[in-house]
Amino acid sequence: MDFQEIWGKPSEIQPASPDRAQLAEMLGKESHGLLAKLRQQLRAKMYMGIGSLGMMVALGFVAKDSNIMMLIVGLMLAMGAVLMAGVYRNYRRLPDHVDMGQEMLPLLRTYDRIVRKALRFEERVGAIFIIPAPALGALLGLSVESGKSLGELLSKPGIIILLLVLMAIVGPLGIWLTIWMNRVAFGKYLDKLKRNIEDLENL
Amino acid sequence: MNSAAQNTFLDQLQQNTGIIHKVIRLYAEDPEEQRDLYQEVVCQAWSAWQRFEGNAKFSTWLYKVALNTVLTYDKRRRRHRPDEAISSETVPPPSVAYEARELLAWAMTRLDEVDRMVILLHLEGYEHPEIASITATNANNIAVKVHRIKKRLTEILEPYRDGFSGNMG
Repeated sequence: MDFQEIWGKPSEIQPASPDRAQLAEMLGKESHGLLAKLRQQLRAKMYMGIGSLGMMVALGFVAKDSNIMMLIVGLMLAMGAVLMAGVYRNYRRLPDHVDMGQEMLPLLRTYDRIVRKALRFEERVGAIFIIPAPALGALLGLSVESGKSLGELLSKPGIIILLLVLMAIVGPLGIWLTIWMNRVAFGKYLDKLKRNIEDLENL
Repeated sequence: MNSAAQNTFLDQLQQNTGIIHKVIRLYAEDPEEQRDLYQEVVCQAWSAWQRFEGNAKFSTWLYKVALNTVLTYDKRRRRHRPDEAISSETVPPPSVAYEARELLAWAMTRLDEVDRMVILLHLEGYEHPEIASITATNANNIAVKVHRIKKRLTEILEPYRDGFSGNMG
C-alpha cells in the first residue's frame, strides 16, 4: 500500500474552521495542557497551606493566655511555614512560560522532577508535622476547655495514654491521607507526564 | 503583544488551519474534545509565537506546536450515559464504503500517540531529518520507526484491503 499516495488525496471530511474573530478570541484563553494543570495543582496546594497557617494563627489567639500553649502553636506554625516555603521554592522553579515550539523532553523532565520533589518534600516534612499535631491539638483543646495547665494535664496517665494513641493512630492516618490526596490531585497528571517522557525517550 | 503582531499571527494561522485539523483529528474522536483541543493548540501557538524566531517555516513550527500540545493535553473525562460507547476500542471501524484516505486516518488513530506524530509528518512529506528535528530525535531512529509504523498500519488495514484497493481504483 502506498500510504503517501492515499494520504495525498483530498479528505472527504472537511471540518469547519473558526473565523478570524473566533481565532482571536481563542488567543486569550487559559491553557488546559498537562503542564499548566500541574502548575495549577501545585499553586492550589500552596493556597491550602496558607489556609492551614491562617487556622493555626487563629488557634494562637484562642490559646493566648497560656505561654506553653502559645509555644506549641508557635512550633506548629513554624513547621507549617517551613513546609510551605519548601513547596513554594519548588513552585518558583517551574518554568513559567511553556513554549510548545521548543523541544519538549527537557521541559517535561523538569516538570516531572520538580513536582515530584515538591510532593516528596511535603510528605516527608509533613510527617514530622502531622504525627504530633493531633496530640498537640487535643492537649490544647483539653487545656482550654478545662482551664488546667499543661503540667496538670500531663500528670494524668489517662491523658498521656490518649495522646500516645492519637499519635500512633491519627498521625500515620494523616500521613496516609496526605499521600492519598497528592495521588488524587497529581496522580493522573504525573502518570501521563511519565508516559510522555518514556514515549519521547523511546522514539 | 501588540495588535500588529496579533494580526500577523492570525494571518499565518488562517493560512495553516488545515494543519491543526489534521493533527487533532488523530488525537481526539469526540467533536467537543476536538474543539477544545483546537482552542488549546491556538492558545499554545500564540504563547509560543513570542519566541518564534522564524528560522523554520511557519507550517513546520505549527506542526511542532500542535503535536507537542496534543501530546501533553489533559483529555477531559466526559460524562457518558451507560449505553454510550466511551473507549476508542469500542468505536466501530469504518465501513469499506469509506474512502481509502479516511480508512488510513482511522487506522492512524489506532497507533500510539508518538507513532501518530511520526507517521503524520512522514505522510505530509517531511524528510526524516525534518521529522527528527520536530520530534527532537535522530534521523536514523525515524527511518526505523517509519518502517515499523507502516508495517503496523498494514496489519490494521488488512481486513479492509478490498475496500482499500476498490477505492484506490
